[in-house]
Amino acid sequence: MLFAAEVTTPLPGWTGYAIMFAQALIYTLMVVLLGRTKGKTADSFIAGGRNIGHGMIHNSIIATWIWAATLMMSSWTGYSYGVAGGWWYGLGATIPLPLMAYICRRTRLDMPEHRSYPEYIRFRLDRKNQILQAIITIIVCGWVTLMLVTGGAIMLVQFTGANFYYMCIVMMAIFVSYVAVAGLWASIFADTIMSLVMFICIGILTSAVFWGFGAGAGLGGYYDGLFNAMIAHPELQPGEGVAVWKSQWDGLNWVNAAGLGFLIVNTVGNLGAVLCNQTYWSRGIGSDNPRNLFRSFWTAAWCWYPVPLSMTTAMGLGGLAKGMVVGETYLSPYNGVASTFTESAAVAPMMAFMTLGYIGLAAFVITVTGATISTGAGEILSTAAVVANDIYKGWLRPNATGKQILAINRIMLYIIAVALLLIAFWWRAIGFSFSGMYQAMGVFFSSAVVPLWMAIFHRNTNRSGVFWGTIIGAIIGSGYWIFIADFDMLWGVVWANIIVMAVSAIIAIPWTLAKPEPFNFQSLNEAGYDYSDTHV
Amino acid sequence: MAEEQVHHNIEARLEMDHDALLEHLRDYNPETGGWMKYMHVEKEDWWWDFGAYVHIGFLIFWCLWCMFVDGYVTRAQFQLDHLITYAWIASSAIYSYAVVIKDFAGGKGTGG
Repeated sequence: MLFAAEVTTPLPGWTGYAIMFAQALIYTLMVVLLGRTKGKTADSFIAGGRNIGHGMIHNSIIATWIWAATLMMSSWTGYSYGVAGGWWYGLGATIPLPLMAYICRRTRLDMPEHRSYPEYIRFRLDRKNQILQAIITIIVCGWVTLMLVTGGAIMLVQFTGANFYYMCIVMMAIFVSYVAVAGLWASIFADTIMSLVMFICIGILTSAVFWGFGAGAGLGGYYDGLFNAMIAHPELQPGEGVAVWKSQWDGLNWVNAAGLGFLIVNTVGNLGAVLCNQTYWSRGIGSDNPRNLFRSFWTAAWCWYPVPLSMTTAMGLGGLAKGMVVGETYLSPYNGVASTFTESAAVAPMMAFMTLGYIGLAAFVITVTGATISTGAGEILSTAAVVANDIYKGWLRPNATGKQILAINRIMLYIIAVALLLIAFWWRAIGFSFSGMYQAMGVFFSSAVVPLWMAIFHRNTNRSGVFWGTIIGAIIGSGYWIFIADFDMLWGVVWANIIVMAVSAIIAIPWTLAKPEPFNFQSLNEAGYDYSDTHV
Repeated sequence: MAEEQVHHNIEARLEMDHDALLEHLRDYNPETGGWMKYMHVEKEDWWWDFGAYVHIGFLIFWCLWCMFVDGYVTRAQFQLDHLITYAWIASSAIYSYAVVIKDFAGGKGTGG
């Protein structure tokens, strides 16, 4: 398969733009035609009407939790850590969803009319905690959007040679397009369609490997390749160090040490990415009742797990078993078209192309763009909703009318999109990699997880303990990673993730035990901001 | 406690409505914000929870077995791993389609 050293893409650059525009057009048209009556008031724009059933919520959670990372980073773990990679990726990322089932059921029962989780925190704890959580969820949603845009753009650059920066702009424009029409309902509806499309595409890719098409080796056919890597010790990522190579030389080991480290990073990082993310809370808020939302989070969890697992098994392990080297150019076995393996995170699209040629390419591109659009639109919408509901209505202008909140919500969609674009460009310019973004996310915001859980489920939780536990945990964890571990992406980031969560718990739990602040959860039943154009 | 009193208590509990008994066992006090009610298996939701716990149990068993009993996978285990993976993604897809079709066909739960 090895061909030449020149960077080559299988498709012309315009095809990347065409695929994106086509999807944007389809989703915007469907939302305009089917959901034009939705989101007319500020409350329904943010809360989606609170009458969406199990089917759409289930699929929306799956689509929202399938990021570009779910397809590309999971495959990267298979390529880097072997057979354990997919299981650890799936396990670490699945754990937050069942937790959300209990959290959202509890908060919907306690406070049926809340529109965001910082609003719940405002009435459960106090104003300072609300603002803190609002800032955290804005950062989380923004971070996730940046990862989506970067991951999607990398994939399209890989296949089409399109300009990275132009692709980012196009994606941001699409994110804003249809959610600006009908708010949360539009996001959940489009998620549902995309989830169903993604299952078909993933089915095509995994079936091809299962039946042994192209570079696919049939059921368990990658075994020999992984075994050979353990014997021959190939250097598949020339720019990386020996530690990275060694994990690739241990691909059949379930206790692959680097893979276990990734499990810790993945679990801690994803707890923060879900529990402190308004996008997932909004799926609970938009559900028709607490029983269905509970069911939806659980079923989404066990239907989501096999998505990264199957992609890792089919694509990531394939790259490792075939001995694909980063920087080399390979030929498709079907049409002789060449494609360059530009970076390790792109192992999945490379294997898709090597397995099924243009069909594999199309299936993967549609899946990643669908994942990117569905989650990206949800994240930007959530960011705008928190700004409008918690910063503007909850803090700056408590007397704001529904019309004003709706206007702020829509304006913020565009402002946030531009701001995130600038950050994406900056990170790309300084070389902050896609895999780096993924592994580092827990360091900055998972300190809120333990305090948040305590606030929701423990009546004596101390308000200051929650506040300072969250802040100090983040400062110490990120300080360790930046100043002591020097941004190390192997074990430095693992310890930083552990420190972040441990410090927040060590502060919040003893503080609560020493100085309990009893709270009556029944007082939340009628709580929430007044959206009938009167005072809060 | 007298034997007669014990008999009386047992009979009283047997006569309790099943739902009331469940409520009694939950011992939920909303004023204290007791969380057991929300963590407890709801009567009508039991099979969702049961399925979930079986699911988690399987994952934990599988991972522990692979890690501690047999660190390096054999060819047969590798094939079994792939078979489980592909069967799982297929069943997930079928379920996800089924619940949407049920929602859309019934005209309910689509948000209006």
